Amino acid sequence: MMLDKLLDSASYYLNPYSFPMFITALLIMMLGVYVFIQDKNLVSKSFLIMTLSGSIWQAGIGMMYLMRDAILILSFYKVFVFFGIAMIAPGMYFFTTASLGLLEEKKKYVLANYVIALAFYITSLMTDWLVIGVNEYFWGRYVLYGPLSIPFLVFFFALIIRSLLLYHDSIRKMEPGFKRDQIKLFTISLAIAIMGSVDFLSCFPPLEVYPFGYLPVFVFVSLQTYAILQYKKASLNEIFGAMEDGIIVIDRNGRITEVNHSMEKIIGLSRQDFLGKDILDILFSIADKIENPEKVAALLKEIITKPGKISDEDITLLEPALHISTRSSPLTDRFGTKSGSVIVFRDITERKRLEEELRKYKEELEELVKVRTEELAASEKKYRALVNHAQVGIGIHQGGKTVFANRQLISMLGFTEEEFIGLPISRLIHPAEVKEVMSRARDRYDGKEVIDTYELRLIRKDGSVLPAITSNVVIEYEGNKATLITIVDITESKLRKELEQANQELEMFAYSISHDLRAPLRSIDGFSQALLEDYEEQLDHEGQDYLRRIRAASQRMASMIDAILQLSRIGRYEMRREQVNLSTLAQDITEDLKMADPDRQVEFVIAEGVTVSGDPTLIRVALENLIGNAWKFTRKNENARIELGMMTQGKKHVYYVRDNGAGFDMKYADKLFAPFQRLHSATEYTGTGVGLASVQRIIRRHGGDIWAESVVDKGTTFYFTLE
Amino acid sequence: MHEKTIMLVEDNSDDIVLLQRAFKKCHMESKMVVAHDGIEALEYLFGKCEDDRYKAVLPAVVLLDVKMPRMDGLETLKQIRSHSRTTHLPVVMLTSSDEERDKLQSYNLGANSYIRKPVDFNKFMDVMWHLGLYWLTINELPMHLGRGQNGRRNTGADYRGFRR
Repeated sequence: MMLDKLLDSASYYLNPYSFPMFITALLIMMLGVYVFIQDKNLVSKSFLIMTLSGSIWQAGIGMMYLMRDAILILSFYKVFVFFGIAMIAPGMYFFTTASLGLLEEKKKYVLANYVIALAFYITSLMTDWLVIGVNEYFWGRYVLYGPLSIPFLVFFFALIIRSLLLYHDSIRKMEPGFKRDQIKLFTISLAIAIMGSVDFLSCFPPLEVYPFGYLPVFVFVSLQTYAILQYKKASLNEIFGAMEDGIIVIDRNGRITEVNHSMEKIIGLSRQDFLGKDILDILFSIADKIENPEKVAALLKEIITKPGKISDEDITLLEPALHISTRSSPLTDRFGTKSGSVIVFRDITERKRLEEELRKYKEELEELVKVRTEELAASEKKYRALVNHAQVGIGIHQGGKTVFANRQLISMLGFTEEEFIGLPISRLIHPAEVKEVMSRARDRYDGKEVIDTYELRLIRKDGSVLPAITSNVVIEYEGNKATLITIVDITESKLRKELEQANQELEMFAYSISHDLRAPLRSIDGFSQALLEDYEEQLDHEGQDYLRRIRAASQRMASMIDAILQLSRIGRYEMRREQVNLSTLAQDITEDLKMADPDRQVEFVIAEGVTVSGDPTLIRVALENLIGNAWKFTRKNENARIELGMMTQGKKHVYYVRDNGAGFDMKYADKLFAPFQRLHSATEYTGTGVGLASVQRIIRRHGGDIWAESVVDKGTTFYFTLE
Repeated sequence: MHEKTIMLVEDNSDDIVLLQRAFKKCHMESKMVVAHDGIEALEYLFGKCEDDRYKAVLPAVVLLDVKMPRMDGLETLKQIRSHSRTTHLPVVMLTSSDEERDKLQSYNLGANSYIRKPVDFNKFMDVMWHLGLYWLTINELPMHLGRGQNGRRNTGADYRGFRR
């Protein structure tokens, strides 16, 4: 019945006062939808709920103005209009908490308020407690409120005032900025919205107030819309635009919802080209400008399908030539669902260039270091070899202590390396020179001009003296001043020098002996003889004997001088080696001996073909002495026999001269070769005592050895070797 | 016959006496000129008169000691050999030394003989006899050396008077 009436056109009449209501209803609904379409977040959702409730309310009132029947009006109001009225207050509260970001903590109040609003609505449906009748006014018919309207209006205003207070609180706490301006706008619009509640006054006659609430409601919704949109625009533009990195925001379908100015610049497309497009379509449209579009496509697909993942990837643009690092992060709405992704494109061309440059420098440097290291290693090896194999001692001392020494230096001074390093250098210098050398070293350290090459005496580990020449130079060693020393052992050259000097002196001595010492002897002998001849009558036999003794002595002395000179000459004689036939040499000598004393009968046994390497003159002197000795000491033997031969001992040839003469006691064997040592009296066997000394000297100069075996009265054998 | 001259260059007076005695005992009556060192010897050999003629007749032989003060025998020998007048003058080194060095140098400088004075006077005399015999009578000299100032020739081969 009610439905028939509702659809019956006779129940309505045209009332112009209803038009503003419908227009308001339509406008606020459109604003709500517009905001919602722009950004489907919680704020726009709650805003939509709020505008829809408001729209139902306004449209319902508009319909009410067109109706004639009071019953129809009552029913329509209860079922339709009051729903909008009941829902709008919790809707505002919901919107307030959402826009302030207080939703989580106020969620249960929002829910409770909707439940209470629903409870009021159901009660008004079931009972007549809220709407009790219809009153007629000049603008049309309007409902009369019953007793339940009081608690309902308290509830209604409480929520609105509560929202107002929440905004007010927020403004107070907030720093100045876009958000604060926005909240301020919300507060103002809410305050205006309260004015819309003048509508309720008509529900309580006799007050006849025209319900122009649609105006504040429209203003309220418009301001709210402006605030939401303005805030959103401001934040995006300011933040995104200020960023140097390119930013693309996509929804979970890969559609671009926002893009910043830097991104436009990077890709060379305008904002309009981006917005609402599928990001993959954009990619394909510029694929020829990207080095590896397949890779980028795969990256974007992954970002779209797995928005929760944070990914980093570098891409290279060919035009403009840029290196770009991308980083995507998920966007989460207030309910925690992933609503899309933000992709940040950072131009890293400069960084890449620097990296590349750095890498190149590094490579160059490494190459350089490598080459230098090789060179260094090679030269170090060279120097090490040089230093270690140097025949001179090389060392470094620092702070008075040795810090480095080559093998030669260490062995020169008789130390081991462990002992040597760290040794105070004063320990190594002869005590008589240490003071001077050390003060010289200090002066050199201080940069004074001092002599740097000089002779000095060093002290070996065993305390012996090492004559040396040293050369010093100040160097830097391991960051500090040190002295590099070079030491040359001059023992040998010193010895040689001394020897040469001694030899020279000896030669001078020998020369002077041969000239000067013989002359007086000649006078002694000569004038003794003159005395004997010219004054024979004046001298008795004894006197004549004395003079003869003087002559004999002087002649013996002359022959001794000759022997000494011969001995000294052997040492000074310049040897030259050649093959010498001992056999023929011995033959010659024996011939000479036989000639000199033809009365003697001596059997010579000379081995044939015995040859040696040696100096012919010296070998002859040696053999003359040996055979001559044998000849001399077999004088008393009737069956004298002299033998020359050779035998082999291991690899060595041993030559011998054997006689069966007087022999000697072997306990004097050590005196045999000493000069002027005689084992027989001069009267028994003549001789100077230099012969065997000469022989030994000759044999030794040939690198050989000589020794004798003898038995008294049985004979002597002289053995000798030659090198 | 012109008496041949022997020149003795010797610093040791003992040796001079002994040598003169040895010559006398060998009956070598030759004139003996004694110089006490090389400088004296050269003065004698190259000394000139006012008319630029040499004062002295060259000796038949010079007996030259090696070791002497002022100018030694080797230097003297060198001077003698460097002078055209005496290039071929017989010079006998007569010395105590038997140093190889002296012998070599002497022969290198052109000594005609090298004789060592023995200590034993008997042997010394023996040597002197041989020496005199050889150089004064056996040895032949070229004309310019044999001829004295008065152009007389040195003729040898008369050693009948020599007696040991």
